Amino acid sequence: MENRNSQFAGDLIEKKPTVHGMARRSAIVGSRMLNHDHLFIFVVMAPMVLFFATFFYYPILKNIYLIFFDYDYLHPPTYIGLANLERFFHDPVVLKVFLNTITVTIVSVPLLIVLSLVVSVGVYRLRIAQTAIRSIIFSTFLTTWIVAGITFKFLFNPELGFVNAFLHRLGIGAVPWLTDPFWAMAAAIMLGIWKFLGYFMVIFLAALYNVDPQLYEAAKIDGANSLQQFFYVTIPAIKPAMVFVSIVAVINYLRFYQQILILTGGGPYRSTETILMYMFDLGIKSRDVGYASTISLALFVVIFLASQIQIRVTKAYSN
Amino acid sequence: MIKTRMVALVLALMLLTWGVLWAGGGQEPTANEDGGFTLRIALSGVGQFEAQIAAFEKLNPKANVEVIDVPWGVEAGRDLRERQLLMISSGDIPDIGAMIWGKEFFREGVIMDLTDDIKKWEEFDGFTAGMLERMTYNNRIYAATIYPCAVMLHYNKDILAQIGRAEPPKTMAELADIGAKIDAAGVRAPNGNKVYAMVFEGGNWHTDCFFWANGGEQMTKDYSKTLIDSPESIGAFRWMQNMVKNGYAPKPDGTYDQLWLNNQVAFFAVGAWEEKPSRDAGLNFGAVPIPVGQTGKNYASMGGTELAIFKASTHKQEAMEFMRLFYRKDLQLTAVTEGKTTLPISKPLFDDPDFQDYWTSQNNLDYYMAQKKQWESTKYNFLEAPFVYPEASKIYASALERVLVKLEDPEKIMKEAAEVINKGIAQKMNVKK
Repeated sequence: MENRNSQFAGDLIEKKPTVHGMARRSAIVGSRMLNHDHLFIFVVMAPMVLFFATFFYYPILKNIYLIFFDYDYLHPPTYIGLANLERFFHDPVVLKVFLNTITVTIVSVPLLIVLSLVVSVGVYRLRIAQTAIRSIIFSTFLTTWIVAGITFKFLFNPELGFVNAFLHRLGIGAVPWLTDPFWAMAAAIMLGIWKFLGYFMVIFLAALYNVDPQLYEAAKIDGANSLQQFFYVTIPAIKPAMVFVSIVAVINYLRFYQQILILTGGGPYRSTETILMYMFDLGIKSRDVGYASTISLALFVVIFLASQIQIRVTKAYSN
Repeated sequence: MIKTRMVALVLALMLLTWGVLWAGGGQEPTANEDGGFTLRIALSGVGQFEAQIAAFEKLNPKANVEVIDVPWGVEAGRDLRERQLLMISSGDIPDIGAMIWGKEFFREGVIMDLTDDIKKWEEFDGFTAGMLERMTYNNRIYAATIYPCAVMLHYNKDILAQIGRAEPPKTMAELADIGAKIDAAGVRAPNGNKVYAMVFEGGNWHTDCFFWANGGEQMTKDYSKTLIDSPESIGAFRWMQNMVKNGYAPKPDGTYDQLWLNNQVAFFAVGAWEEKPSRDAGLNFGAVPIPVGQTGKNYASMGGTELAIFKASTHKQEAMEFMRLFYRKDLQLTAVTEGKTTLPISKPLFDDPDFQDYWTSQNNLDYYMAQKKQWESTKYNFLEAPFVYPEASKIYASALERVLVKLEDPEKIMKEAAEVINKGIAQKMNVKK
């Protein structure tokens, strides 16, 4: 009886699927699909995982590892504990080059954001030749740092550069570009702004094109003038782009290297030397790989903290 | 569950990658069963090596010369040195390397001692004292210098003519007098800009000739201590600073030869590599040995590149054969006449009729005879690329800028710089011991 009942029950299960049965079946089908998904994900992800593992994660791990070693490329690494970290906190050059880097960043980033925003709004409102002007301004970003650096070096040559010749025509005395720490830093900042302006302008332009025109219509009906429209409609609408631009700009400026190397070589008397220049000098020229790794990690921490602060401040401001 | 599988997948891929990289590393075999072999050379500017490579492959039909051509880099061959360091650390070591950091590599034991081999060369007598100083460490020869070139005093004949002078100065005092005359006459360049007597651009390559002439030295004989703060050195730095203070020379701004090429400077202490750009710029110029200082002597930095053989090479004899080709007269003449280089490598060739005929045809025999004369008094520029405590070059360059740009007291600045350099060298030497 019991067997018959069981068989009957079994028939019922076969013929009338229960919720439990449906779940099991879908789990089996799902599992097969999961295997297919797995394969697909594997194929899609493999190249990028390999790329990142080789060129990002492995070097980062190796960098952290080398902080605890004295390594010079030619001999096996020797464990030295925390000596590199101790040296880092007592190195007067580190402080100087970090200050130079932060100065460039603090001056350049706000200037760059404001200028590129102004230029992008100007280009956005153009009714003729918008594409051509946009391309011309963006083209500075396509110039390599070496070409840009050498060109600026000639422009700022105190004796026969175009900039001083122009100032002379205006009745202004020669400016000691490249031979005075303040003006050399100013020249480097101008070079950075010239190079990045086109890139950030394009990002702002993309954001401006996405602002709903109805918002402007509504603001106009409410009696807002152009300036009010800009501050109360445009700025809030493109805030995500501004956050992105500010983070990218800060990261770029904290890694300021090639432009300074070509334009001033870190001079005069190391007044424009940046943290990355110092790190490369230590790592390559002095073969002091362990200490250069320590500086590299410190720079990573600074960039990470700066980005986090920016994100949090923006969020708090939005709230 | 899915997350766990994905993490496992990613980790497996990472391990696989590193495994493949690990297994794929190391050096490729450079010899074949049929007697053929590959000679690997890490250099910069393969154009200067083409004739020798072709000649070597002609002499060794089974040989294949593989060139790893790397840009020289912004300062002291930085990019090429970086590549060689990476090749050494990864075990992918070439046979021959072109370098100016041979003393560093020899001291570290990565290149061969070639003393016994090179001393047997019949070309050995053609090496000048300056060249030998470049290729020697602790009395052992570790390399062969190629493309040597000394700094000399280039002068602008048109500017001198404007102050009624035809001859360039023979002493540093005379040079300063000319500076005063140019300044007093208010000489202007064709572009209307002020003309200076001298320019101290290009780092210590272009300044140290003056403190050597004044009796100063960069380093002690064993390179264990710098002497840039000696009274003789300070005297020369003061002389250079006064040239700037008096308006006879501009503050160096890193634009190198621009003032010279624009007829805005009467004298420029620079190597023979400046001959072609000067000619292309249409300058009416000449060159003479560096003016003498209070010692009555003159000295200039001896440049060039060294060819060295890495210890890991299994083709020492073939590499030596290749290096020696650079001293073959026909190849040197081809390199000069085809514009691959400006100078012969062997000093006796300055007097060779074929070379002299070529220079005469180019109207610059006097220029090259001045170079020959300067080769008799050259020094090794240790502070260009110090093999102990490399930061020394930057510290010294920065001190030079403070003297010539910020116009600070040379004695104070050089003493400070010397203290830091000497401390750094002592620390590095102690570590080595």
